[in-house]
Amino acid sequence: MWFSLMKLEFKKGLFYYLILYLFFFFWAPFTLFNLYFYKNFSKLSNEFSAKRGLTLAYYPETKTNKISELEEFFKKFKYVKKISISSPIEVYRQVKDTPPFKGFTESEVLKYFPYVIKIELDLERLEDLKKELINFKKFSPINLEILSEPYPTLLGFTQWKYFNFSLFLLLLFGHLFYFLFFYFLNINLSNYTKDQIEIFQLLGGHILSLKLIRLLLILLPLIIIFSLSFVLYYLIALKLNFYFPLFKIYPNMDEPIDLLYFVLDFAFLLFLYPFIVLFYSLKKV
Amino acid sequence: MTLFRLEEITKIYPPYYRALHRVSLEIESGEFVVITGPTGAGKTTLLKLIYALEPPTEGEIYYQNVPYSKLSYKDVIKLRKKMGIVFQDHKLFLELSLYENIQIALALSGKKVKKEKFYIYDWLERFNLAHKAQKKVKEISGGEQQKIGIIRALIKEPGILILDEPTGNLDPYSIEEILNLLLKIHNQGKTVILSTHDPTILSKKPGRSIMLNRGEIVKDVV
Repeated sequence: MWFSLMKLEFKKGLFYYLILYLFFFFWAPFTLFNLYFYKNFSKLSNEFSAKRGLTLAYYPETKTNKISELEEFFKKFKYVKKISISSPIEVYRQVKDTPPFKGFTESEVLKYFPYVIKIELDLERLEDLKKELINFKKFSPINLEILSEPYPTLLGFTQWKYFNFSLFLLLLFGHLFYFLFFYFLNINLSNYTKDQIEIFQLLGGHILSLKLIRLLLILLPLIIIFSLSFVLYYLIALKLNFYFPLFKIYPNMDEPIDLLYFVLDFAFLLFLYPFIVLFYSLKKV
Repeated sequence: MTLFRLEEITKIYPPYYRALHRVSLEIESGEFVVITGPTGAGKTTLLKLIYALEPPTEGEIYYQNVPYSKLSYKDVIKLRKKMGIVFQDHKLFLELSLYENIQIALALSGKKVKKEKFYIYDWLERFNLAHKAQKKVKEISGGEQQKIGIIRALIKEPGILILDEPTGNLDPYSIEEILNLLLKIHNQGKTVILSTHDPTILSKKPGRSIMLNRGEIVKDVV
């Protein structure tokens, strides 16, 4: 009986089931990978942000040393949090054993070494400070070089204050869209198979049996589809990552939080939503 | 023992169609009841109310003194398991084979059969349909579909048989055969409720005859 009923349900609702499977194949991992993309991008952004600041190399002229003048210059800006200066001799000590400097005496190379000035400040004011520096150099010509690492402009949008919220909305929308799609598809399928649902109950069958059959027809293929789709997205993501290194959107399964996202997504899309929809569907006769 | 009791039953289909009007009726266990009347008299509606497909607009139906309105969904399913119903529009699973249709009904009835396949084929053979057992229902004629509907109701050997125009698409020979079968079942103590306006059946006067017209009982002859 079960096999016949499953066959009947699947044959009659084939169109609806295929639409669900197809939709699920593209949609389900897409939302999950969005999440990973967000997470990885945020992580990257935070790493870069931590390194941000201003690092300068100042090469003193033989006659004049303007380091104290420079220090005073930076101190007058309120947004500058901390200034640390390494003298040429300190810089030399750090690098003297590395290949280019090995074999030279301190006096031979010291005159070529700069002061290294590290400035910590509010990141939003970085550009302002750079402008001030350019002006400073105009009036007081000094040999000053910016050593800071460039910040990838692509990551700029992660600094947007609504970034987290918009990502949350996107995820919410993704799940809501899937839920509503599933809900209306199920309603249409139930309307289309209304007759057989009625006959089954008139013969003494319990509606729960039909719900179980529908759940099986949804769950079993979707689990397989989810796995296949996940693998496909993963391969695409790997390829993309090869060409665009910043564009890392695949999960790192060694990290518990990535695994948790995966498990939650799996549970919501495959179990929770179908259970809710099917529980409240199929009319009792 | 009173099996079904209908008290002042009225059924109105929205917006205004009144299919039954204040119908009161008692059906005893083991009775053979023939419900007759012209088209649109309310025969099918009356049967639908008895097998709990629809609720009455007014009034109450009792099964062994238990009101239908107090029955839970589970109770209704249990009640239907005790019934064998033949529907006017057959209500078969058109995409499935004759065999599968009967197999599902048998499984749902909970009746234990030792050699299920043999049992089903035996019933199909009685109605000369065994050679079409694996055909889909939608591929056979209306008369044959009617026979499948009857087999499906009879195969579980229910205590109550409800048949809505079971001979509409059948030839006179088959009608005679089915009537004899129903009488045989009735003689085993089963309750048979049959709606028909078939002259062959009516002329045989198999049992109590209830005539409906415009939703009201106009004649009730035992």
